Amino acid sequence: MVAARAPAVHQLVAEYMDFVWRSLRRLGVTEADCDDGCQRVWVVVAKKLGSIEPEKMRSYIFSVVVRVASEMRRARGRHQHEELDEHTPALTALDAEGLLEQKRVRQLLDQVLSSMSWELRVVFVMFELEGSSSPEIAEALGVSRGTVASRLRLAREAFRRSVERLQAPPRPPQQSLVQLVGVASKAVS
Amino acid sequence: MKDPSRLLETARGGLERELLRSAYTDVAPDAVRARVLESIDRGLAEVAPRLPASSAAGKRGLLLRMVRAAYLGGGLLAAAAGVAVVLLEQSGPRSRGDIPPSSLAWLPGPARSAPARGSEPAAPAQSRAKPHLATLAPGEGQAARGSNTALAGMHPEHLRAAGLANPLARNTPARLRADADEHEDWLGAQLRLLREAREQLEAGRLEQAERVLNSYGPRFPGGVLGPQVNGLREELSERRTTARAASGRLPLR
Repeated sequence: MVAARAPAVHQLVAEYMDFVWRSLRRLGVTEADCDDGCQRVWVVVAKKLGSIEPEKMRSYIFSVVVRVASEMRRARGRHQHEELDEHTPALTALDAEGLLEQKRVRQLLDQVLSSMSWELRVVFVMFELEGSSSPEIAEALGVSRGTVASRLRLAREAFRRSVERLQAPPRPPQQSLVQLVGVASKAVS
Repeated sequence: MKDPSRLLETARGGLERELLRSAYTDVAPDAVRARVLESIDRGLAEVAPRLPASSAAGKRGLLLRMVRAAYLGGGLLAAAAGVAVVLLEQSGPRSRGDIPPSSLAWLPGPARSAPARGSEPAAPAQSRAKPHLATLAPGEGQAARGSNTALAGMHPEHLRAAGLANPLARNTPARLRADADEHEDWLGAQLRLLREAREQLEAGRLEQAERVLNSYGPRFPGGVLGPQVNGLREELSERRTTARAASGRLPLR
């Protein structure tokens, strides 16, 4: 009976694989662990396939993704909150060095997301990056729509704050002692 | 409640937009996709025999299979009983009690120890008893009812194989269906419980909501909606805190 589900699962994989991959990555699963995470998600989905309503498939898959990502994060012993890296280059530096390739930007995005709490991050990823609706998110997370709206608002604020930090102009380089002496001598003369 | 517009549509700066757009271009590598498909095929093949021990759903599956096996196993005996009843029916006109007890000795039920006696009053007909059973003596009736029970528990395929119309086992497919439905509806029941808890919560009936949430664990050990239940618990706790804070701010009269 279970083996007969294989074609249906294959079809689902074709449809939702990128969604699962992206969601796991945006929820903090490293690229190296994402392979394992995807397999765990799909094994759960394959087992429960018969009891999932087709119209709720996406919500269900996302709820499994959230659980798997949460377990993997816990297994890695990562902190819920991570501050932005002090050494994250500012936008001007990125522009100057031409480093706005997608991969680099995604790394930045992951850094921004990791500065949010887990609850805010989940809602932000699902709404802003995966285009899910509030009812879908509420269904997947088992919370009310009001809670989703509240978390989304807080998540957006956190996201904007982080982006502003990234865009802040770099600090002016400290003048060397020699330059200071030169300026002082000019002033005296 | 209408969803707000997506941040990507209203992004203020270039970086904000770039960050949001970058997520869409992230796709699963083909190698990972292939490995996942391969492991699903392998996993599905392995999961089927391992299901019974691995999860509550699996245990239900095992129970269902055991029940079906019991139907199949008992089916042969029941079919033989059914054939005997049909043969007795076709053996021509007879009066009560003219069936030799030895001919019913192999039937399950009290017939083996209580042979038919024509002098006994006829037992009240069972609601599901068929007309031909009513013509039998009490002992025979009991015996036939024994076979009735056996037939009722017989798999329809066996009855078809035995060439019996199976009028006595009409409820068998329904029972099987009910078991299967129960198995398939396991998640549905969890979702209903979750929905009920949410309704109670949104209606402000916090005690009832808590009671419903507390019933989740015992009702669905190993249930798949644990994170959602925890989410609701968290929300319940938040509401309680808010309610306490609000009541603390209110002036005492």
